[in-house]
Amino acid sequence: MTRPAGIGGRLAAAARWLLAKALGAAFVLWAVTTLIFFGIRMIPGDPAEAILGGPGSQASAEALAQVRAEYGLDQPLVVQYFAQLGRLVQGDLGNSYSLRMPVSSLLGEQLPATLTLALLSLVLAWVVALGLATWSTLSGRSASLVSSGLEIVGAAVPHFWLASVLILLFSINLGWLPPVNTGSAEGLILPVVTLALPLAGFLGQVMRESMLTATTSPFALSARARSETEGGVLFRHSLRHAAIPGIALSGWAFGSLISGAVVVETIFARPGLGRTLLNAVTLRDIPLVTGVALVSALAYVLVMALSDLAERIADPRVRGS
Amino acid sequence: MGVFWRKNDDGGHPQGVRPGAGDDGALSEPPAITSGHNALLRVDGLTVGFGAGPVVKDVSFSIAAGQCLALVGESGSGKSVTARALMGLAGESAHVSADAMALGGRSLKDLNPRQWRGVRGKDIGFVLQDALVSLDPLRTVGREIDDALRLRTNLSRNDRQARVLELLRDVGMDDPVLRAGQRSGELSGGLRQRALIASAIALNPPLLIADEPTTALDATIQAQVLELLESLRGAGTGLLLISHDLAVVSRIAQQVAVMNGGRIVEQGPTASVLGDPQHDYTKRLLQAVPSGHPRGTRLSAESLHVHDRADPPRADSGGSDAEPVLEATNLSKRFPTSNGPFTAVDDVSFTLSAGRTLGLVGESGSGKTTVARMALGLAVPDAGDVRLFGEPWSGISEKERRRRRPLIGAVYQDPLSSFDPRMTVEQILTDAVSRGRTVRAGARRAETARLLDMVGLPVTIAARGPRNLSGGQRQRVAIARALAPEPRIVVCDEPASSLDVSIQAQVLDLLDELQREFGLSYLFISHDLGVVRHMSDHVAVMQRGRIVEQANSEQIFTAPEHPYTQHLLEASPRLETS
Repeated sequence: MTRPAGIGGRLAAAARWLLAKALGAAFVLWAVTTLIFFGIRMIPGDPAEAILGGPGSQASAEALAQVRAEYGLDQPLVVQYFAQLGRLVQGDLGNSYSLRMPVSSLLGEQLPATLTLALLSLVLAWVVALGLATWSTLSGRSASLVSSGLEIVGAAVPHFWLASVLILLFSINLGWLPPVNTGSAEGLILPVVTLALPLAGFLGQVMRESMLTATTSPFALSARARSETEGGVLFRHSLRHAAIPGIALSGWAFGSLISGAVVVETIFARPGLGRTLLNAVTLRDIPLVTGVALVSALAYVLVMALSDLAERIADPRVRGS
Repeated sequence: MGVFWRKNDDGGHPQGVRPGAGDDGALSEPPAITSGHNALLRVDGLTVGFGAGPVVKDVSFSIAAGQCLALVGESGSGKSVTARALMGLAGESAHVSADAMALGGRSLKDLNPRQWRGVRGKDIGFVLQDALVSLDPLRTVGREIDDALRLRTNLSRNDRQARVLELLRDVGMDDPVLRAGQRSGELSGGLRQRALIASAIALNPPLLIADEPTTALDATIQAQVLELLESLRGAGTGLLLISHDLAVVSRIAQQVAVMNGGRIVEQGPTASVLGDPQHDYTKRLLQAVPSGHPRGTRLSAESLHVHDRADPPRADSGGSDAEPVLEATNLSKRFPTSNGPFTAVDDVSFTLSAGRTLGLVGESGSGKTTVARMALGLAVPDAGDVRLFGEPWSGISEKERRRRRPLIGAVYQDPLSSFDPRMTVEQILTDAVSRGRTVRAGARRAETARLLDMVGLPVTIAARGPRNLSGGQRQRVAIARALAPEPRIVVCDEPASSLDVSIQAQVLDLLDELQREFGLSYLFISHDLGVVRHMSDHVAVMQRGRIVEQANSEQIFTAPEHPYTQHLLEASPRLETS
C-alpha cells in the first residue's frame, strides 16, 4: 500500500522529473551536435569547395583559402568544435553554405510543414489503429484475423512503395487527388496517408492485443456482473488499457514519422525539414545539416517527454513507481 | 470419522464426533436442505457445454435466503462455469440448458442479453477471486463501486457518492474517503477484496456468488473476508461460495455440493458431507487436506510414485545430534524504498539439520522469501552470515560459491515462470545437470529418464514444453530439476501453494518420499499452516522480518507461546478430523 503523497511531495516529484528530463534533453542535443560535427567531416570532400558551389565550380586556390579563413575552417578541428558549441549555446545555428541564409530562418520556414505532416499522420494512425482494435474486439474472431493481417501488411510496407501505389491509384487512375504538393489541403492527404498507414499497423498490433486482454480480463467480467453493457466495458475500461501502450509508443512513432518525412516530402515534392536535410547532405552544407538534426532531436525529445507525461496521466501505476 | 470446524487448536485432543455443523452460534446455522418452493435460487438439471461435450452435467441445487451453499471441487470440475451460467456470463460459445433455473420465483431460462443485464448486479452479485485483477487497475475503487449505482439507480451523483462511502464502511474499510480515491494496486489484498465485495453488493442483491473469494489471501485477511461474507449471509443474503478449500467451506457453508468432472457427486449439510463422506471422490478430497495428518502419512490416495521398494524409515526426529547442514546467524537484509530503508529480514537465526525439514511460516511480506534467497546465496545479507556444511556461504565470492551450488537446490511456487517456456522438459533437466557442459545425446536421455522416473512422471513428457504440462506435472519437473545436481538441501518456497488440494497432496507426498530416499534437508516455506505442520520437524514463525517463535513442530502447533503464533493458528481455518 502506498501512502498518498501530499501536494508538496507531488510538486517536488514533478520538479525532479522536469529536471531529469531537461538534463537528458541537454545531453541528447550535445551528443547529436558532436556526432554530426565529427561524422560529416569523415565524408570525403572539402567544405570550402562546397561553400563555393561544389567541385564543379573550379574555385581557385586563393578563393578556397579565403573561404577557409572566413569560416574558420583553417583552425584545428577541436577549436572549430568548441567554437560551434559556443555559437549553438547562444542559439546561433550559423549560415547555410548553399543557400547563404541564416539556418534558423530556413528552419523556421520548413519546420511547420513537417510538423503538420507528422502530427496529422500521428492522429490518423491513432484513429485507424483504435478503429481496427475496437472493430476486432467487438466483432469477434474473423474481424480480429482481418485486422491482424491488415496491420502486418501496413507495418511491413515501405513508404516509397505505398506512396507510388497511392499516387497511381488516386492521382493517375482516378484523378481525385494531386500527385505533388499544390499548397492546398488536398495535397496533404496522400502524404499523410502514406506516413500514417505503416505506423497504424504498428500501433494497431499493440492496441488490439491489450484491448483484447482487457475485454477478457477478470475486471471486465466483474464489470459485466455489475450489469455493465459491452459498450460500457469498451469505453470505460478497454479503450484506456488499449491507449496506454499506444501512448508509450507515440514518442518513438513521432521520431519515425520525422525520418519518414524525408522520403515522403521528396516523393510528393513538399517543402519541409526532410527535403531540406536531403539537399543539405547532398551539398555538404554542414550548418544546415546540423540545424535540421538539432531541431529534429529537440522535437523528438519534447515529444518523448510529452508522451511520458501523457502515460503518467493515463496510467496511475506508472505514477506510483 | 467426524469432521468439524474449530476456531482453536486445543492440543491435539479432539473433542469427539459431532453430528451437526457445530455448536457455535456465529458459525453454524440450523436450516436443513431447502425444498424447492422456499428456495431463493433453484437450479435443476443445469448443463453447460462449449462445443465438444458438456463441462457441467445435470447439476441441481438450491439456496435459501440467509444460507450458504458451497460448491467444492478441483480446477476444471465445472464450479466456475456453473456460477457464470447463473449470471448469463458463461460466454458466447456456451450452450446452457436447464430443466429449471429460477431466482426468487423468476425464471432465468432463455433470457435475452437485455434481461440478463437486468439480473446482474441487481439480483445476483458476483465476487471474483483476485481483486487485483478483478478491479480495473486504471480506475479508482470508488468509480468501480459507483458503476453499479450509475447503471441501475436514478440517484444523483452526490447520493451515489454517499452510498459508495457507506458501502466501503459496511465492508469494514478504515478510511472510506481515502480508499474511494485509490486504485486496486494501491490497496492491500484484504482491502482490495473488500472493495470488490462492496461493488458486488452495491445494489443489495439477494444472492451473492463468490468465486474463490479468499484464495489469494493470507490466513488473517482470509478470516476477515470470511467474516464479512458470513455477516452478509447473516443479514439474509443467499451465498453461493465456490472454493477448493475445504477448510474455508467447513467454516461458513451450511450446505456443500461436491463437483467432479462437471457433475455434483455428493451434496447435503456441511457436517454430514465432510464428516461422513459417501462418495469416493469426497473421501479423497478430505484425505488430501494436510492439516490434521501427522508428519509422514500419505495424503494422496493413489500414489503416482513408481518405486516399488519399501520406503526407508525416516531418521529419528527429535534427536539433537543431527549434523547441521545450513546455519543462519543473525541475518539482516534491508531494501531502499522511497520512504527510507525497509527492513525485510531482521536478526534471523536458524539451523537446518541433515535429513530434517525446517518450516518457515508467516504472512506475505514477512520476509520468508528474502530468507530463502539468502540461504540460496542469491542475496547478500547486510549483516549476519550463512554457513553451508560448516563452511562460509554468504560472505564469499560468487566464483567460490558456484563450485558448491550443486549442494543446494530450489523449488519455487510457480514453475511456469521459473521455466524457460521455449525449452522442453528434457532441455530443462539437462540444463540443470550439465551446467554449461555438452552432454552426449545418449547420456542426456538416460539422465532425463532417471530424473522423471524419480518424480513419478512418464518419460513421454520429456519432449513437451512447460506450457503443455498440468500444474502438478510442472511442479514435479521443478522438483526433478532441483534434484538433478544431487543436492543435499532443497529450499522449497511455497512449492504446493498454487495447486489443487489433491495435486498438492501428491507433490507433498513426493517431497516426503524423496527426503527419506536421499536424506534431503528441506527449508520449507509456506503461508499454509496445515502444509507446514504436515511437512516440518521444526518450525520458525516469521512476522515483519523477525522470527518470533521457533520450536519443534508439535510444540508450535499444540502449545504456541508467542501471541502472533496463536493469532495465526486461530485465524487459519482448518479441517480437524478425529
